[in-house]
Amino acid sequence: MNSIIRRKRTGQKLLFLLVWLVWLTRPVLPAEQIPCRWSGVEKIVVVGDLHGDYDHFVEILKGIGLVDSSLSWTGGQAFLVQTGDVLDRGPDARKIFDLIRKLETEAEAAGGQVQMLIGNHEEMNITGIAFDYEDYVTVEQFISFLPEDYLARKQKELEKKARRGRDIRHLWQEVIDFDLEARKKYLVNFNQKYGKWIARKNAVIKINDTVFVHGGISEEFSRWKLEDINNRLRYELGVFQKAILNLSPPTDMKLEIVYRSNGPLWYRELALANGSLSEEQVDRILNNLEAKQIIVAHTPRLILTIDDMRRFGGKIWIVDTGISQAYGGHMRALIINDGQFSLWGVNHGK
Amino acid sequence: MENNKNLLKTGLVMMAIAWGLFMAASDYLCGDQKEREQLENFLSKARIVRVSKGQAGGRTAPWIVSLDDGRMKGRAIFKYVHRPRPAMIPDSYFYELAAYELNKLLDLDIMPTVVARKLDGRNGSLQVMLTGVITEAQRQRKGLTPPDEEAFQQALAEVVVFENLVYDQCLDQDDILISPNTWQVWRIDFSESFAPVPELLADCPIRRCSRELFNSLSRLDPGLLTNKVKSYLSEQEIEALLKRKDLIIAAIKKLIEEQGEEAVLFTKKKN
Ligand SMILES: Nc1ncnc2c1ncn2[C@@H]1O[C@H](COP(=O)(O)OP(=O)(O)OP(=O)(O)O)[C@@H](O)[C@H]1O
Ligand SMILES: [Mg+2]
Repeated sequence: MNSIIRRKRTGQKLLFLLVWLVWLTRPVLPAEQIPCRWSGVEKIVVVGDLHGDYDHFVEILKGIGLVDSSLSWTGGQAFLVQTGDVLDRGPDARKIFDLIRKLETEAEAAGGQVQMLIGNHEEMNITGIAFDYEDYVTVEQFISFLPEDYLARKQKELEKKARRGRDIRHLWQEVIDFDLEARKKYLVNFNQKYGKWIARKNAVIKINDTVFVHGGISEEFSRWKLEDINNRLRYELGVFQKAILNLSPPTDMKLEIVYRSNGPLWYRELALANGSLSEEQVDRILNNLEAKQIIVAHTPRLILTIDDMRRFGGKIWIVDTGISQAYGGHMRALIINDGQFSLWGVNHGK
Repeated sequence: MENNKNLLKTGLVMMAIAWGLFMAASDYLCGDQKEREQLENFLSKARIVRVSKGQAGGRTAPWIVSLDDGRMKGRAIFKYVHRPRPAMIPDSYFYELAAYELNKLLDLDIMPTVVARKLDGRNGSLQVMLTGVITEAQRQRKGLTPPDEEAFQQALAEVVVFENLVYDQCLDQDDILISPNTWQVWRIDFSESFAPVPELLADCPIRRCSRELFNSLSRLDPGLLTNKVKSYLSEQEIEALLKRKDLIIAAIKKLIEEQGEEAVLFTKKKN
């Protein structure tokens, strides 16, 4: 009896090993070949900053018909572009990442695409600087990215304290604020399980004649090739990840994209009404990019009609509508169908 | 009816007083040198009336704080992000405070007054928030020209010298604020400065300097300077700062040698 079980276990182990070996040899594109340009795309759905609001994300996808009730891709050959900032301020970033991961594969099989861009909040969690801000990493998000064994241990420890009358949420908040070991566990686990996957995304993509980016493209960066921006960002994030995973010591590399105020993840001027940009500058930027319009997020805006998304006569579109409850819960999406722009969701959410 | 009239009268008088106080405060907030200390006092002690988080923009996501000490009201910018070097992404309110100490030591008036203060359990820097100002970028976009071009260029020249000293971005158009009435020039956002680089900014050549600033720099005692900034800067950061100070003095002396004093030094025009 025992020996049968043992043999069965050995068999199972072998099977796992085999599956793992096959998985290892799956075709993974070298980072520098990750695509960031597509043409001839008929339908594009653009969803802005989600900040941990899984429920609203799902409602938008269902509302537009990109998924069915079991959350399977029904978008066919459509492109879904999520413009970054899935993380922080809300509870459920992990669930959103998991759904996007699943839909990526399903959409691709159907001839469509799910493209999640890297936002500044993804950068901040990969590098760890999200912890320097009040209320960015929520208790729910923090817990969701802790390694299971550590979470179980910590949970027990805090429950013990809670029994002496302390509020468990407060206790977790203290852990986020002061417990450096717990932060380290979060960062390592986050980077291993999600950060590496996120770092293979793009900061900037171009579909047909439209450029999509989280923050914006400043004149300086409009002179870069999109591929160079994406590869440089991936390289820099990789250096941080290696330092966090203790694979190499921290360095003082010159940051060209990460945390650059006029870089693609942080630049705001395209979206600011009283900003410093003139239309001539916008034209130069578009000209350098060989694009007709740029879709940006990052700067929240109250959107009641499609005109509220439009700047510079439609050269710039702003899609950070405050979808997350943390920002008022205004569910909106921009749909580009055969070059025609329309707004989804004015009667959904607030 | 009579009651209502009285009420109206009282209301109007109170509004006038409030307006007066507000005007006095905004005058005050323009940073007259001798009132600096009072302003520091105000920032340090005034009651916090309101804190607005996530409105100011900027990567450090500073808070906008409304203050009231019973005599005057005003708004201020609170930065609390604290990632001093050797962090891989350095940015800290300590560098704001260090820059302000230098600004005072050199008797420059290009930084709005800023103090260290604790708010909502967080340590940070609290700086007078200038109102009714435009950025240099906005000035250029709107095509506004200063009434006294020379005075304006002099002010920018002082900014360039200071930027070389603290080793921060050269004439960033969004970090230069201008009061459109007085055309006073301000420089904000030093939270990434003081990189321990013992060189001047490569892309930010010093061409001119006021006699006042050149003299203050020449007379500046390294011991005193070190003392003023040592709570905010590391040894390496201070060492590089002292080196840059010497390099600035040498660069200006060299310019004077090449072009003559009149082409390089100026006596500050008051706007
Ligand atoms: N003293 C001040 N008076 C008026 N406005 C200010 C002041 N300090 C900062 N601001 C404004 O607040 C915003 C953020 O300030 P600041 O640039 O110092 O922050 P930051 O987080 O370092 O930003 P950045 O990402 O540009 O480096 C800017 O729009 C700036 O113009
Ligand atoms: Mg800054």
